[in-house]
Amino acid sequence: MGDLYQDILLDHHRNPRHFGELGGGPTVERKNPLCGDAIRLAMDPADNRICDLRFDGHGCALSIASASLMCCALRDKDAGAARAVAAELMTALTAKEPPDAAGLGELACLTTVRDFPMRLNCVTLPWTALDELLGK
Amino acid sequence: MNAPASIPTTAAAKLPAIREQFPTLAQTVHGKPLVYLDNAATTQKPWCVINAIAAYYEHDNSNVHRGVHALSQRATAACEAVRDKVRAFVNAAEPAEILFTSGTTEAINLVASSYGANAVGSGDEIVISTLEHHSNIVPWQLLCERSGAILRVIPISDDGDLDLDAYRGLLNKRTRLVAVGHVCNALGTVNPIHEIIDLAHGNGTPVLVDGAQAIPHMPVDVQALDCDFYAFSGHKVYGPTGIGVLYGKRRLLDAMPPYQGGGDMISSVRFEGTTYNELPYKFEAGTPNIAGAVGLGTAVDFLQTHLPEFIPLEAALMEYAESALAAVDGVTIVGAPQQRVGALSFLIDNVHPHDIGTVVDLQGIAIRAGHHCAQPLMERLGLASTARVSFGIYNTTADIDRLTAAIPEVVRIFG
Repeated sequence: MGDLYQDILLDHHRNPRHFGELGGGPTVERKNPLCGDAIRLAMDPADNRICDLRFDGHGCALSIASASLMCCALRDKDAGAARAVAAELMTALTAKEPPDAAGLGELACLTTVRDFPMRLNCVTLPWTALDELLGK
Repeated sequence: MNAPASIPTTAAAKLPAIREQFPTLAQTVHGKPLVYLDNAATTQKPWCVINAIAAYYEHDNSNVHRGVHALSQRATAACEAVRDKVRAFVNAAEPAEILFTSGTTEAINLVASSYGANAVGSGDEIVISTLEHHSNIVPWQLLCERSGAILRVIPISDDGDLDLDAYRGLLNKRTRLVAVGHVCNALGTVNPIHEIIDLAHGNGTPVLVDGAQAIPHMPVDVQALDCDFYAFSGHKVYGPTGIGVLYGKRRLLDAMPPYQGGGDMISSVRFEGTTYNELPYKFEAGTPNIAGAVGLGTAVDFLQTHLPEFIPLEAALMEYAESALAAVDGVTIVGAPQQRVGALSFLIDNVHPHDIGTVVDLQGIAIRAGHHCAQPLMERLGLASTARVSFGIYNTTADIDRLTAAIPEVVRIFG
């Protein structure tokens, strides 16, 4: 059983980055029906790049840290690169074999949720919002 | 913290023997002995229930009501014996008023669908309350969508008690049904169900009681209550999942159309038209959950044997839990209803209930975290979710002590 609440995750929970004040760009909201948690994501795309990705809402340590880490990881990426990161994380979260998470950087700390399948939706909540946001 | 002296000693002395009857309790989770405090979601099953289900499949398995052979006779007799046992358990007037369903949810849907079809029309009103579980909200919303009826909601106080004055004001000549929980699954509020029923009847309105969270904790006498429908689930009273009960007054059930079509619910079928079976079979289409009924019968015996001693024990356990949790730094108990049974919701400052649930799970303690299928109640309380402990017949003060001892770890991680 991995350590779910690693220091880096707790740090992003306590001090979420890019949190609040969503600005005027496109916005999506996603809720977790299991717990009522809600994340709103907003993007300021310029030059076909995500020059700003922000979130607000309320949630557990996992969903808040996941959103915070996501915003850090995807800023300055174009939509294709952002989708690739999201896909790599989803594979790492759900693949049968434990993943080689080296390419995920700080996001790798989220993969400990593999040992807590009841909490998987907490981690994926902001990423499903991202998927919808990039589709806009 | 309350002294354990408030725990009735004779009943408490029997707890080890009761716990031995539940095989699931004798395990470790994440290396720690399991503490199971999620009984409002479902209870564990004693050996007698497990063995009764196994024995049914081992010796008597057959379909009911149709066969002329010995096994079918045994299965039919077993099913009908349970119906009469449940009748006695809730003191219904006759076995035909006891309908087997898959659980409380189906029982409520049956009434919404069948009673609603004849008795509820456009502009009519259904009264529910803020304390309801989704299963006593959504079937009525669906009925309102179908019929054009209007849903009225009894508000609550900040303590989590129903506002009876507001309830009186909601009753009018268009009120066709009042559907309320006996006990709230999220807060443990015990509703003044006698008064609710009396007021509705004074208005000529029948009452459905969602008894899922009451029946494990108190004797229920449907004739003394004079409720018109009473619904509960087998799996919350130490029985199996997939079996539940709807009690209904014969007068109402007779007037209601069938809920589902199929075998068992007919007396004759011709393509020109079908004659429906008599009660209770009119409402039991298809092969019922026979093994579930057998398990439910054994569970009812088990509960009836132990309930008299469990009631004072549980009251003391609730008092112990309330004061023990309230004494922990950072813990807030949600609501302060006049009477509480079974379930207790709490919060820890700055910690999400799901994170509480995971951290105490790693200590071997099973609690519930979330909105408890009561999102309108959570919204009224200004909360997204809570952590909840709920008691069963096997819980001890030591279980509460394990929980309160685990909370500093929660605070250490997230505080």
